[in-house]
Amino acid sequence: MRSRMGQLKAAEKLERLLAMIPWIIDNDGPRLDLIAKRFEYPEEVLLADLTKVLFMVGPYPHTPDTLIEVVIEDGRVWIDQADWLSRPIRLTPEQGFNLLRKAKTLEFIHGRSEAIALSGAIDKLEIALGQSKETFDLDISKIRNTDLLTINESIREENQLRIRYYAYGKDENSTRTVHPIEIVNRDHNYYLHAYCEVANDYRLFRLDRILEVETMDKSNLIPEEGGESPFLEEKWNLDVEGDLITLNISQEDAWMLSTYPIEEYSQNENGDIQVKLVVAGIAWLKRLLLRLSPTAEIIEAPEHIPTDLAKQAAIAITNRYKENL
Amino acid sequence: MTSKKLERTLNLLAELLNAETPKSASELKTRVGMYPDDLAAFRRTFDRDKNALRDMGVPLELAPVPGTNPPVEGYFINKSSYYLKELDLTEEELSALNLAIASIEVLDGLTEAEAMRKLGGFDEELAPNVFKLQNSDDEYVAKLFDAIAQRKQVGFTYGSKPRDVEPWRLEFTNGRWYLIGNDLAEAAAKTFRVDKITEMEVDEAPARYEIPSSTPRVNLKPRSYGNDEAIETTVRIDSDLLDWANTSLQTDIQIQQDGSGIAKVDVHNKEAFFTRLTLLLDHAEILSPEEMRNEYLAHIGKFNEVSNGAT
Repeated sequence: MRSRMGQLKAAEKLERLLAMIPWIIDNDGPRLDLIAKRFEYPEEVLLADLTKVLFMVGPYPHTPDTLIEVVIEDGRVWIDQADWLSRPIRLTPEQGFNLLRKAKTLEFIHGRSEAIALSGAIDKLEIALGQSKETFDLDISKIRNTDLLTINESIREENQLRIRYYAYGKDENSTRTVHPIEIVNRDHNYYLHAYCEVANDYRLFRLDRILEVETMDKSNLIPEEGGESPFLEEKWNLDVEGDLITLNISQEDAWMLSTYPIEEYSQNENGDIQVKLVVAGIAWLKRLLLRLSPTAEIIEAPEHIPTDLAKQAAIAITNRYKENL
Repeated sequence: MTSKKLERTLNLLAELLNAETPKSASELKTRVGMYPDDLAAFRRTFDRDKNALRDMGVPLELAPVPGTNPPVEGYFINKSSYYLKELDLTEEELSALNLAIASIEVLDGLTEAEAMRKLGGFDEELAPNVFKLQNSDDEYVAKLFDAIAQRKQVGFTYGSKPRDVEPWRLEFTNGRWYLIGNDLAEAAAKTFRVDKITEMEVDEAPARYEIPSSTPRVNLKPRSYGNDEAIETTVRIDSDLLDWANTSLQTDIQIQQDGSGIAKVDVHNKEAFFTRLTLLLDHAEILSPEEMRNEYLAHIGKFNEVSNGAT
């Protein structure tokens, strides 16, 4: 964030001064206005702090030979007698971690060979932070980086995208024009947050289910009447049908309680568990049932969800094998 | 008022960074020369200044002042942990890092602007964030990052069992952070999901262990779990699901003339492989070996036999 000019607190001034002094020493009289911009320090305040505060700083006995020397001439700044401040403070673990994480994420998106300056910076950061390629690594290869690059550029250029998307819940592919906003990750997956022309609303598209992307030569226009962004509302707006069903599962399948979004559950005397959950689609439910043990049962469901769905799914698979004996 | 505070804190830092030995609070009071005379007021102001320095990452430590009896605690800054190591970033490298932090926002995370200023600042306008990464809810991940850098042993509870581990590697894969390290009790490399680590403590003193030059990777491919002998299995996948199957099965798929795909998978664990394959429903089929085909059919057949619900 750019600073709220003119309103730096003492702690913010301290942090910025300690960062800029080494840079000023290294850069042979940089211009005051450049320093102000680079370190987000309002110029007039910086001038006052350099001449009235920093000028008075140094170790005991605060004699002229121990105090920091600040020379400002023709709008340029030189600092001397500040050897003890000639290097910045180390990054905190959080700062180092986040910086390297972001740099490596972007490097992954662009590909190491395409991001030469970034890779150079990462190499130097790793050494300074006591890390290496062996000790800190990111793998987001679930997403093809060619797609990420296209999406990334479309967001920056504010272009529309045409995507072919696999709706997991409905088990069908569709092509849609979307107006991309950003890429977000939640619950261990990455999503494209975009305005979808088919849904006429904001949607989150899981990146690993985007089968193709193509940038369109059309500007991104997000209709004002198109509803609120899911992040403003803090709710998920996935293509989810809202059917509630109840399953009876055995202890063996209790793992699903911590893996699937469960509305509620209760346990029988015989140890079986009744689970209520919202179904994201028929295909989604088929997959869930085939992951559970064969004894799992649908005991309550709306009419259009057959209670023998697992059997139907199994028969469809078996039939495919019969056709190709 | 603000200027006075700034000057005083800078002078305190000047004392600490120029001192060879720990300095007591009263000595620092005299040397800085800007603290109130009243003892209680001095304590309050001094505490605030110490906190301001610590909040910025200044490693302010406590140690006995030499030559005091009874010993008096003094303050000092270990220079080697205060200063950022020489980075020598070029303007292009700084700009690339700037782009990385501008492109990627860690939701609710810390701002990197402060970190960037330490590296030399930047004067470009920030581009809008394109990527929003979920803030790592793994509270220990940055601590582990630091423990690896300093080669410090950690102790934590994992799966209700206490562990002592020499951390080697942090890896983000499949949307989660994993720690790989030497589990001292078992004398073996182990992988831990960071979000399942609890009650972690980092040892104060560096253990100075060696990190192997090639650390093991997180292996999440479910069919690779277990020690069964590999069975090379060929699967045909319908064209519609090819791209998705590619990530789901995590294997390369060869596209055929009719648009379908053929994947060759080394299966080490049949059950895990079958679970994965059922996700493709009737869009995929095992072609060979015959034995796998039959076993999968038997696995699926169990759902055929059960008369659940309205049959």
